[in-house]
Amino acid sequence: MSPIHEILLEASEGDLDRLLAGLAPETAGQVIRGTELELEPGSLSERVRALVGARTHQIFFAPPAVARELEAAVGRDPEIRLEGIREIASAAFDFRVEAYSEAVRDDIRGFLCAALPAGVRLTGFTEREERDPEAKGVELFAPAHELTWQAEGTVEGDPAAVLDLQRRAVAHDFCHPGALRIEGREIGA
Amino acid sequence: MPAAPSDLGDIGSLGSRLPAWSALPFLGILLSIALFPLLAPKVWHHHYPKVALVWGLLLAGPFLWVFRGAAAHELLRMAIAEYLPFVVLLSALFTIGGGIHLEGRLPGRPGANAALLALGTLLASLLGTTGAAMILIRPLLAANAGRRYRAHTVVFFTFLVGNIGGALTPLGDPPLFLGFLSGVPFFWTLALAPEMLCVAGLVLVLYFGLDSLLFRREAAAVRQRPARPEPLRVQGAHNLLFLLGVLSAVILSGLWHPGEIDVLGIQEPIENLARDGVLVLLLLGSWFTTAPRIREANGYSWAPIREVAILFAAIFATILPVLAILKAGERGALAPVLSAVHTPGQFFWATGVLSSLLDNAPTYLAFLSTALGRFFPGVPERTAVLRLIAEHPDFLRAIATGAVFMGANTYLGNAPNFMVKSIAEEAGVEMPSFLGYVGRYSLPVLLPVFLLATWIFF
Repeated sequence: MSPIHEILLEASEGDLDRLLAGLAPETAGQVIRGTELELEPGSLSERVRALVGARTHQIFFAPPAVARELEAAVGRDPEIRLEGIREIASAAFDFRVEAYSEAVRDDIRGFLCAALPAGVRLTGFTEREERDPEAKGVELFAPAHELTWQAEGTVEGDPAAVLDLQRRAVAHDFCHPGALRIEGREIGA
Repeated sequence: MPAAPSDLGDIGSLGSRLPAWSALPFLGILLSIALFPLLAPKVWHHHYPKVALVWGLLLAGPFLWVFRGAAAHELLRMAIAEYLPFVVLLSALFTIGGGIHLEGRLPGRPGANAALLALGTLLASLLGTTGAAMILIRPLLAANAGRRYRAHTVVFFTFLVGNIGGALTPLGDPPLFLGFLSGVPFFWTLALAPEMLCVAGLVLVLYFGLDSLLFRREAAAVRQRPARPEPLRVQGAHNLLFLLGVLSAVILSGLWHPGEIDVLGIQEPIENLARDGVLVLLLLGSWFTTAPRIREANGYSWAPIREVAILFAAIFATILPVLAILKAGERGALAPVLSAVHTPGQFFWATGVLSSLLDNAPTYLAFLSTALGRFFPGVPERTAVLRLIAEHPDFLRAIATGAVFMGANTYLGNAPNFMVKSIAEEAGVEMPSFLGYVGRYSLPVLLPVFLLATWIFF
């Protein structure tokens, strides 16, 4: 299992940008921001404050060594306050996906269903594919897709790999991941 | 003066006798086109010919039963003088446009995207909105592959290339070709340039701003891609000559008047028949001289032509009583419609709002007839159209721009809208839902622009 830590900061997004800019590129590249994931929605006031750039809470995830480096950097920045660090023990999310071409279907199926990283399981997976040969080509008034593929399931297991998968799913059109479910233990702040 | 082919002839006087409910089949086919693709797309895809037939027969049956010879003559006149030229032109533009393919890859950066949208906006008036959209949507999608934020680009492409850009010639958008068939001179539409350039310019600027904002949020790998990965090449470029032929044939049919001949009892101008014959030849020329792989690359098929032929047969049949009633002016059963719209601004918005929800081509015809009924009731159509242009040009400008521009407001407004959505989805771009399109794009972007256009022009 690849360990990963969740770090909660009292900071604005700009503070976080500044913090990550101070790291070596390869180190910063290992950090997953909360904004890249589908997390449980925060409170309305937090969202409003985040929108106007006010100081609020930022979550990100990083391997332990990077997390320690960040913790040290936070300690040197008077604008940012460390609220907590958790070692993530498990992570999972449900997903619902669809595609209207073989290329998009194969792309989504490849990274989210078929070629899963070691330590990640796919459970409750169902998929449905419909083909309508009459719908091939462009149509103006009666548009239909030649191929419709829909699937759903749950990804769970190695936390670092699950987080990376969710990040890719969030960035992919037609992937609709549910909120990330994570469990862990407090180890700092 | 001989009766022009678009005049209502024998049933012209019936506009004051037809009941308002005779417009129901017209409303039925338009609502079917609007709602079925949203509510039951698969049913509609497989059964739309039957639905169109039912609405057509609902009008044609009683119409022929009650008005017999006059009704048959009018249906035939509509078929020969309006429907066939309409289908022939769209088929020619679509087939010729489908033979032109852009190969290569643009960088997918805000400047390049905006340039492609600007090019498409200008091409739309020459190729037709459908043809321009079909040629350019795939290069646009390829350019933006890998970008996280793409749906907005496709929506603005729909606004500009699929709709607004088609305002400058009768080839650009079906409503304007119907206007041309009704007697609007070919080059009159160039007078819409100030409105088109203003609206398209504003929308393009808003697009560039939004895309620049979203581009900054893309991953570094996307932002740092080379600015010109692969130059664009035009395949099937000889089709541009066929396109020039279409343009020439349509323009000539508006300038050359050698007389009329009898076609199944309908007096049809020779120039119109000659034009349609030339268009068919150009279509065939394009078909036989273009490599099939070019059409495959554009996803070309006959399906859109079949759709237009079937659905517009029902639209042209069912619109007959509506046009007759509207042209009867205050004496017709739809007099309340006439009394509800008075100013060019009201015509712009009334035509536009209905064009957003129903297809914009028949909507244009209906409001053109409304304006003719208001100012020149009982005057033969071609004469009335020329008088409308001479005495009240703002009304025709308002109707034309309302129909063309506001076809962009929803997926329903103009034929390319659904096509672009479907192609984008198959390329992996998740497009907004019907309400998402309206709420996230049309209302915040188009509504203020159209309000400003109303203030400036109407």
